[in-house]
Amino acid sequence: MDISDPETIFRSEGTILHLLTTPVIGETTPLDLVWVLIIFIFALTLIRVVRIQLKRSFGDRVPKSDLDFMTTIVTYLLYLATFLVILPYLHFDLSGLFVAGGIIALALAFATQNIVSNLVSGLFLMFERPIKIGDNISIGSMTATVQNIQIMSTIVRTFDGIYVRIPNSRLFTSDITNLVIHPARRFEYTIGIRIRYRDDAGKAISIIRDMIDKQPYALKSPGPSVYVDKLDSSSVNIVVKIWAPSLYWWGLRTELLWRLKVELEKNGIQIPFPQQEVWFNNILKADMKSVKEPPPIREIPFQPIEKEEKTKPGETHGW
Amino acid sequence: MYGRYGYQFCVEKGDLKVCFSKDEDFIRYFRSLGDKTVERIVASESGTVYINPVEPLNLPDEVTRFLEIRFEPILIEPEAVRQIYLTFPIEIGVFLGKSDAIQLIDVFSRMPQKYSLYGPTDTGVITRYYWSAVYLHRPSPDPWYEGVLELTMHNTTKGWIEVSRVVFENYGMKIYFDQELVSMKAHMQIIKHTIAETSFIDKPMREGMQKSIELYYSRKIPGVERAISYTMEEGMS
Repeated sequence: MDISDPETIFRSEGTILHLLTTPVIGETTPLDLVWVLIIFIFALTLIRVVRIQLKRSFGDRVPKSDLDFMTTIVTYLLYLATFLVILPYLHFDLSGLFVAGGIIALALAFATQNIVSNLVSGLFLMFERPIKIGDNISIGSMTATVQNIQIMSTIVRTFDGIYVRIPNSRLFTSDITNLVIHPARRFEYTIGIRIRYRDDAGKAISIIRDMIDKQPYALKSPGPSVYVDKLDSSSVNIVVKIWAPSLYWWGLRTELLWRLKVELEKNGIQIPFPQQEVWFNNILKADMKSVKEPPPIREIPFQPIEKEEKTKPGETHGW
Repeated sequence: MYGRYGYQFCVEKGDLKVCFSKDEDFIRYFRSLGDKTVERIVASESGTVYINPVEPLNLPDEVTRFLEIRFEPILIEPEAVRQIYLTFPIEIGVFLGKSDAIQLIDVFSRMPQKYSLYGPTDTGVITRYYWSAVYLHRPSPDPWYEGVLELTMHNTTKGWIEVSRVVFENYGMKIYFDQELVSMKAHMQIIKHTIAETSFIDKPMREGMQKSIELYYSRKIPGVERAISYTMEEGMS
């Protein structure tokens, strides 16, 4: 072998170069695979660095949900770019794929129908954005907070703290109620506030309005609605409707009702029990003289509870 | 009471009490106002305590970044410039500073908080709401309760405009203070019948006032001196 000729060295069997340049899978050589590996590792590192830099640069300026969305998009774009860079090293003939892969693609499409459906739904969810990370949503009977929107599925956490993974295709075709997408929402006390007929409804409304006015999260505009809704069988029903910031309405709703009750009672306005007047056709005759007084309540002196004797380990009970 | 302090002091004003005291290697912070008290332990050798008014957008929680002041309606003639004085609620921040690192440790206020919505319920913004009287000359409210906002309104339209509210964004809010006055200066440019642009002017109302530490500061772009503004697109009344 003439070692002065590089071509000879290159073609000689057994040398490293020969081994690296000998096709092993189709036209792909081990050298191509090494390049693929290097590019892949480089891409992974680059993606990691880009993600960290995005979070560092925009973390304090962009809302977390927007930042996560941006990071996801950039990550997928970088993965796509890596895939396109790797393809020539694998000698993957895309034109061949178009010609011969039609049937395969069709078969794959059938086989991966759900996966593709989830993927496409995921992309639509990301661009249409009916929900964002951190939003409180209702889907069917479930109410939860969105934790992450991935390309195939969406992760939510129920208010009980349960992890739920929803395939994007299911989410996309469901009726999604986003509870916080608008800045404000209205709530009302559905049972209403009931006062006695003898109480002044105008005074009660005034007290309720004053109480609402003291609540920071009960919005000034649009203002609350407080009015007599129904003259019920045993009470005058007052309905209270309040607008609050979407993220704070629940706290206000749970706190305010009891405060209203206490304040109304402080001002002599009581919430009545259901009551019914019964009229007897005949006058009832009762001999009240024969009814004896109940016996006086006997005071029982304090008696300390005798301590039970504890048996020591190894000892047997008396019986 | 506004100003800088060392690590050992105690100030009282009415039912407000703010104290820093040394406890071996630690510093204890105590604040009481009304029936609320706050206590914190600080691990620090030396530093400076700053007490100054901050942007009134922190209590009871950071709900919004917009401050809305409503006032009696004012009708402004076409292409007129007028200056009025309004009041705004005071929130007081207690900061710890060492070198360039400044940390907020407490915010409190003597004023009640109230929120509102500017715009429709689907696209509007939540605002910190405050009602102010309109003053033609600078008022002198208690600097522990209210500050003074000097608002210059410029009607650039060809028609009469009624103004009864102004909305500001927190970024760029410039508060100045001394022991008797807390102030801000702002500008409102009315562009259309329902659109106006509001911005703050980084200047004190009188000489000798100190600038408050900003909780919400925007990064300045070198060479660009434009004030940060908010566009009120949902009307001014």
